[in-house]
Amino acid sequence: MSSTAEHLFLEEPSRPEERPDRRVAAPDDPHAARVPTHPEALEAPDFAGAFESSDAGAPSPSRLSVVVDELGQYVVQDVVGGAYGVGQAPEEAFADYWTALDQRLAFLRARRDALSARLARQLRELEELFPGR
Amino acid sequence: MAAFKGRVVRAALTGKLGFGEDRSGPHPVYERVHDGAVVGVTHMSHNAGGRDLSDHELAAMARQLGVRGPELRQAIGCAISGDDFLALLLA
Repeated sequence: MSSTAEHLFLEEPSRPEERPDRRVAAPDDPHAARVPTHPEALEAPDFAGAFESSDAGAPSPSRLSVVVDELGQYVVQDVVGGAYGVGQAPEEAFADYWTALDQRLAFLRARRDALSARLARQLRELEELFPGR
Repeated sequence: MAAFKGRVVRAALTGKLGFGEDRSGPHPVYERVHDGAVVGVTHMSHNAGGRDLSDHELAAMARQLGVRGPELRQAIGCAISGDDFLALLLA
């Protein structure tokens, strides 16, 4: 398996020359992955598959992605598409992500019996992806 | 691609797209219920109201809803009706 650092290298293709300091390693999060930076790529069918974890129960470097968007914000997202976080700095985006994830899990769990099949599946996938949350 | 202000997205979701809003948590959550079933849930990042939402943010919201980014953008921009967007949520 690649080291975590290999998965944390970020690019900002829109302004690499203006702010080279933004071409940085992501924060101390063990789950980040390098991903395509075009938003449509995040919707591509192969996106989730490309970062699937095969190591059930073990921390995987593939559960989250972080990109710098066209507004210069960091956007953190999980491979399930269940939650996302936004921030002006990586740390802020990751913190926002975890807050959003916990809020979404609580929201979906409170409605578990009324969820559509797709949302019920997403809830199961999030619980499998983040056991114990 | 045209950017949308957070308040425009919120107005579209809670207006013609028929989402309910829950502001009790750290992020405003938008929930679409149809025939007693929850068929779509998304949230907006805090302080999103007065600023532009990036394509990545809208794409992330679309993924939460199980639709494609362009479909969400078209729904916000009135190129897709509320009924057609509901059909996408149910697909």
